[in-house]
Amino acid sequence: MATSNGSSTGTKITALVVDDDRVINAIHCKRLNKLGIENHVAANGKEAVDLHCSGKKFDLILMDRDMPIMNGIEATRELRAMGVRSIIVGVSTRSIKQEIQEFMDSGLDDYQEKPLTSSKVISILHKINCNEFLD
Amino acid sequence: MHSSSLRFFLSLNLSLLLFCGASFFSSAMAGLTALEALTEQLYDFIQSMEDDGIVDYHFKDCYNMKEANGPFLFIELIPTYISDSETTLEEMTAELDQPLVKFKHLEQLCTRLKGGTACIGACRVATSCGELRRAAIAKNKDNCLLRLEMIKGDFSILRNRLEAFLELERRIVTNDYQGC
Repeated sequence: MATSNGSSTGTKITALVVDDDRVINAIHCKRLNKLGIENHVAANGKEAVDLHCSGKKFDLILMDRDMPIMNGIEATRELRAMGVRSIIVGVSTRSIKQEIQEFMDSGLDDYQEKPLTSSKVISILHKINCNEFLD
Repeated sequence: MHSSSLRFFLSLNLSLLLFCGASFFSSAMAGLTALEALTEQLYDFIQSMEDDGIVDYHFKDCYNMKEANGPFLFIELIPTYISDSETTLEEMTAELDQPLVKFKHLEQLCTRLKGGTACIGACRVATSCGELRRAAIAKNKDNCLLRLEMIKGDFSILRNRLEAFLELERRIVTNDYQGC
């Protein structure tokens, strides 16, 4: 379901949607597309890590928590250990504080409870723009 | 050709042209009116699902993504959601049929079902999933069985409404306005 080569060069924001659910992937991609964001999909954490190992970079990663093979917590830790500095936002239906904190502690910049809305994405994008300004 | 015959021929052709143009315009207008009527019917249907607590505003929000993502978005998305959800419900049933229930697996299935369900705005089923997950965390098999039956009931209602919604949507997308 690739829709871009995942490059973070140029002015267009690039995003990686990491989720094993195809309905969620479709909705998140369409939402990002509507906001003019170039997006790519990974079906689990391992695919996300492999994409980065192959040299792909993204401005934004939307990371699901519960996935087969490699979950969001493991994938986030791995990506941070690799030196990935993208904005990584955890997206899950879990609402228990301890579970959210466990996910945040893996290296997330933010956590959003599903469903992801356009206003939530816009607030995340502001964060990206601020980071680019600071860099 | 004699000038009066020519004038007659030309005026006849002009009349025919005007008649065809008027007919075309009239049927185009009728088509547009029928489309508006069907679209209004669809939005009324969405409102009725909201009023009945089956979906929340996220459903309409998802639907409105059609503008930027093509007219077939929902026609493709909803059948996928229904199919995937039915598979997950079967897995939940199978897990609870086991003599030794793996509650952790059941929790994961709840999370999976709740995710896609919440994202399309099907709030009632999403809430039921949350309740089943709490029962699974508590490792209470009887309560899990009860909650699963409730999810199935809620999902059945949702599926019926979504299928009726899809029927309206297909007619809009395929320009089938007859019977409006």
